[in-house]
Amino acid sequence: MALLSIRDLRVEYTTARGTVAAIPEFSLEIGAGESFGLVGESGCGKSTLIMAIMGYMGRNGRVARGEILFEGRDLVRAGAEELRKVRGGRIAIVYQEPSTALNPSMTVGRQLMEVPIAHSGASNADARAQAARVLADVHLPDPDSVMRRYPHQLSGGQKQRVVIAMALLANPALLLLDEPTTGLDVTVEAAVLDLLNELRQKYGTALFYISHNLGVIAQVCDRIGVMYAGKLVEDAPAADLFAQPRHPYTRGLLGSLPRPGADKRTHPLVAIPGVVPSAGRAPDSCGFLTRCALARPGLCDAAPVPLLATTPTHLVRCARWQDLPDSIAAADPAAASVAVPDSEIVMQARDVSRVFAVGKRRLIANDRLTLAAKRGHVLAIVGESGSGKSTFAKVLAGLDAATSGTLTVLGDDVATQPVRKRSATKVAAVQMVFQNPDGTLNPSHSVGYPLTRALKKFGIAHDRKTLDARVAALLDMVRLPPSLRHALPRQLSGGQKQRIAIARAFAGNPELLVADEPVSALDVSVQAAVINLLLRIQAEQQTTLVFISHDLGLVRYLADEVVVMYLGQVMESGPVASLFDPPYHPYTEALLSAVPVPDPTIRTTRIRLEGEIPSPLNVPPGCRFATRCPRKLGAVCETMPPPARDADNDHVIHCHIPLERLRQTEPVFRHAS
Amino acid sequence: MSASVAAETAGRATPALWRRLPNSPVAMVGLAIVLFWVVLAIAAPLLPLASPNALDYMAMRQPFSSAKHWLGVDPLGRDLLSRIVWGGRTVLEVAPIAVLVAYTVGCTMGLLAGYYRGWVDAAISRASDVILSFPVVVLYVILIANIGPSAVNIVVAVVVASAPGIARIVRGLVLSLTHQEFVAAAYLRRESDVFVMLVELLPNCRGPLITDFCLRLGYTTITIGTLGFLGLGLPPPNPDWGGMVKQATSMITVFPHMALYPTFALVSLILGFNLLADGITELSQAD
Amino acid sequence: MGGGNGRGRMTRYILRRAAEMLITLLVASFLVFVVTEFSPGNVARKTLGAFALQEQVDLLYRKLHLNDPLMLRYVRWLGVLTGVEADPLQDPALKLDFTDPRGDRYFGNFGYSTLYKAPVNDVLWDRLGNTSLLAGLAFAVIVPLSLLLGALAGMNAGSLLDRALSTVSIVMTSIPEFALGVLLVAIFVVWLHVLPGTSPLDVHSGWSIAQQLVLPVAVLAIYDAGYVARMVRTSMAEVMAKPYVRTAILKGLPRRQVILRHALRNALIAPFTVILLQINWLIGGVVVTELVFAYPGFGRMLLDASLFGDVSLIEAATLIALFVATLTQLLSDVGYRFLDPQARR
Repeated sequence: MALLSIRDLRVEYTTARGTVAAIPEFSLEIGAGESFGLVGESGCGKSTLIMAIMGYMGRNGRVARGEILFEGRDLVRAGAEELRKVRGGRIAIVYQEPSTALNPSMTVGRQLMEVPIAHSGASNADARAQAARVLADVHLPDPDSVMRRYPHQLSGGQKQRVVIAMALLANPALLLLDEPTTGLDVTVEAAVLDLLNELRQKYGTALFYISHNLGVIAQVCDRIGVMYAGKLVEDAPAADLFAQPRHPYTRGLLGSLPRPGADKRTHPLVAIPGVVPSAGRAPDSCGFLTRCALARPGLCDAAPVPLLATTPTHLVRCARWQDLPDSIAAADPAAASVAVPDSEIVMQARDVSRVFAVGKRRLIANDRLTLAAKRGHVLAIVGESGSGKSTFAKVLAGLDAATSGTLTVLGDDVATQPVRKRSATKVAAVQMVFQNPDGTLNPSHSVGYPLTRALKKFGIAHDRKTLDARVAALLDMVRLPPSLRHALPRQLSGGQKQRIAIARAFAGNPELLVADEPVSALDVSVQAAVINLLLRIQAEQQTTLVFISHDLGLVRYLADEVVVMYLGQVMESGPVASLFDPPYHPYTEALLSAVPVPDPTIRTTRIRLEGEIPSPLNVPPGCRFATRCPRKLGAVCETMPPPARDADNDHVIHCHIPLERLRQTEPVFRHAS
Repeated sequence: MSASVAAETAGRATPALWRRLPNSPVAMVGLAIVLFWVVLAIAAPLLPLASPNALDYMAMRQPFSSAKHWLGVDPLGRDLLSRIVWGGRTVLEVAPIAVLVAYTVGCTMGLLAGYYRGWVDAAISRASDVILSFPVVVLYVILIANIGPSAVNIVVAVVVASAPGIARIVRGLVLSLTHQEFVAAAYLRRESDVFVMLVELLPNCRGPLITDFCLRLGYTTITIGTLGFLGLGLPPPNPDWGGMVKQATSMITVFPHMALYPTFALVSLILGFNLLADGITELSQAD
Repeated sequence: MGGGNGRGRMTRYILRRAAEMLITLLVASFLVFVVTEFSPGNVARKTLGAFALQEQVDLLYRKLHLNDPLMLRYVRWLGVLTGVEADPLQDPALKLDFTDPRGDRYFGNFGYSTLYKAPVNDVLWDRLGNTSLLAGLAFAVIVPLSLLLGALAGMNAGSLLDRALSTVSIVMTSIPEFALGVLLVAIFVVWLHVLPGTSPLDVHSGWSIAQQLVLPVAVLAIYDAGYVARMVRTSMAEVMAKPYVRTAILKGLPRRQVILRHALRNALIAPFTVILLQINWLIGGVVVTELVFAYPGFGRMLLDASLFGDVSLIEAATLIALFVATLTQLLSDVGYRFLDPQARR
């Protein structure tokens, strides 16, 4: 008997606009000890599903039909007391945002101890011992000290471990995980995923893992389901899903992800046209109908398409699955990696430093950065939180001024020149696109307003007619209908808002565009479209793009040159191809090994970093990475700043380890064979 | 609902606030009460009412209600109905103006403090703290007793007492808004400080300020009533609900209606503002 | 962060806030001084009364050095207050007949009240005591009542109970004190005859002191409890919607434990400061209630002094009111830091 069996579930919400079916029909089974991953983008209903399993849908939600059988009982019809015992005791949740999931006024220890006290009637002493044990299991050092602290005194990664520990305390049979690693740094995420696998082995808990990130799911799950518009559209073992995706949507998702070893010229990302329908608005027959290239009228829109078994273990909800070509389009051989033509340097940073005074202490955000960007090229700056990449982006764009160093942009040194001190032409020449689509547009203004303002302030157009024409042209450039200029930001989707942000940045015909994580907050299928758009405009106008990101897969795809930053310093820089093969800087190596690759056929070297990123208030002398470096040589790394080693072709590595030794390391990505 | 669940149930964006008012019965009741008094105040000169200041000693024979005086008369023989209507007009003339001026001053203070921070913020916040540390009534008493009662001085007193509270709200909003990317985008267009404050930031304070506006109209009405009651309101013979209650308290054992009718009038108007504020808050949180 | 360090940091915070408090007091009292003594001619006139001759007024004017700059006069007033200087009004040479049994130079000398024809200290503390009694009783009713109403409403946000309780709270805050006073008097005094209409705290009036206190306390309590209840409700409703409450529920904790340990604890942080600030209002702001019930309290004294122009009394009373205000502000800030672990950084 399956541990969890969801049958014909229908979940509805009553909203101001009437009753909405967030989940029209859903069936699924998870066996004991099994690890099942559910992939879907925002709005597909996966969070609603988790809340429905726990019976916590708020005032407006209810299960309209179906049953959720867990260990034989139907949770939908369970009484309050029965439900209480299941919650936390037999099924536990690990949440997405650990900072908000923990009570800020209660010590960590107290919050942990509540679980055994409530579920097994343990005494205080027993509960404390159990809590300490499970904290050790999640590899938190010094459990007693951790238990005495309050949540805000822990880092993001530590908090997530505490949440996991809290979930495991009553030894539940099933663990529900709602995007638990979103928001964590890549290296921290990798460690948490490792932990989950380890705990799974040790406790035998079944995992129900939901995420929008196929790479992450591939690391942790045996079986994968794909959810779209409230329905399960594909269900297969992990290897099968990646090797032979049978639903057009799954194909679309995989096609929109950058694959290791692929770049923008050989393997362009294929975006899925259209947007995810909001709850209850998808066609009843097939939710993907409006966006599917294979949709055939009469077949796909007639009646609700059932889940069909292509093989006994591989289910798909598609009427035309047999007509899908066998595998995803192969690489385009004609467009083999043509090296991008060299050009002059338009941005040169030399020893740029940015230090903040915090009380009496100094926060060193950028420490003597030296890097360059060439005209028409894409320079990617990679790093995790605390690396200082966003600070540098701001200095470059003029939103902040450096404390020292020279930053020559298009001929002038703008290191200490924030926007106010720059000329209008200079400001128009260096523009920026930001990370968060929700904050990027003023909610009180129409979407066309900032475009009009930009055109006026940069002196490009002044009279009504020219302004209107230019705004229409800008909207067309980002593939949006001109009528959208009167819309308010809250009427737009995340992807549309980012497109407007791009249009706004290009209003003044910039020569250098700084993009600070422009797609990290967007859904996967939308990311591809926005990236393609950005690259197309950039290529057409020969704009230099400085692309800030933490996503190495994406960087591999679109960058020409890459700079890797850690704690305010450059660790490694060079042409993109050279960065993904040895020799690596040890940090780059660790970063690469932490990338969750959406392809189970690729083996990654496992390198896990211990400890936390040091605070920029307290930078270690010598090499910044010395405190966590798995290849640390010894005292020299801790005391002496590393030399810059030139590994030909402009590839520079800042490390004490001699180049020959670095060249001998194993490549991080290898095909399993 | 969590953000992700909310995303899954959101449809098109919600329509503007004033269009959604009918969704909240509380707001509608409040609005109805307020509109009732507003209409009465506007129509006052046109209505066939006796003069609010005309003394009619003969009417004291029938103080409670008569054909000539539907609601009776006050201790000096003046028509209560007329005084109540005109009293409402007085309140609705002074209160909105006072609150609007307070908003202008308060928003400016809050914008400057939140935008420039540093010593500007320190100075404004310190001054606000000093003013806010006076219990409100003490503040009014000291001010009015020294500068004398008049409509203008009441407005000044209300402004002095309310502006710091408004400034604090605006300052808080501005501090959180300046971190948003659209402000950085405005800088990247070389927009001036004044533009950013007035065009980019201020419109986004609308939400909390609208609720506060209704509430403050309520508080100001209470203030005007209380000042009238203390004898610090508008000088006689202006009909002033608070003053009317004060004059009638000595007669309360014999002619309770003389104090009760203006009391009901005052309470109803304040209730109207408070209900409206509550309804608006409820609506803006329902998203 | 060890315990010793934390305590040291808290002590330094308290000291710093106390110093700020002192500065605020000085600045505010100076402002009051300015407003009341602005036209020195009036000070002399007010002291002697409307019927004094102009020559007497001019003489007093010179004697009190009223043409000195305001700052100097303020410092002199501070000097009298701290006992460094003697109160000029008590100079026997002026023949004003103002005598204070405590002498004319002592710490805490607020001067002489021209309204009550007695040293300020004879009037001030007595009145303050009366108001404190009223305030204390009202506070004792307000806190549990508002917490109960607000918490119940907030816990069940959106339900019928919440709607009902919220409406009750709103109605309570929509009735200004004097209106409430009038209404209650109309019901309990005029109609039912069960309570007295005035509360002069006179044992010989035919009503016991307790009976005299019921209506004034009721007025204060009803008005203020409504206000505080709304704050508590909002805070509670906000906290109930927070993710950590969801975590507690989905951990399988009994509902009671979730509410008491997780929700209330956090929900009461914000209202705590509001509640403390009510003390502030209860001392100075109850002038209206005292007026309605003829209660011999601090607020009424301040009002009478303001209308009469009794300069010394106004300055003294305002200083006390400000002191109470800043002290409660200080207590609420310190308490807030204590209650909210995140604020303790």
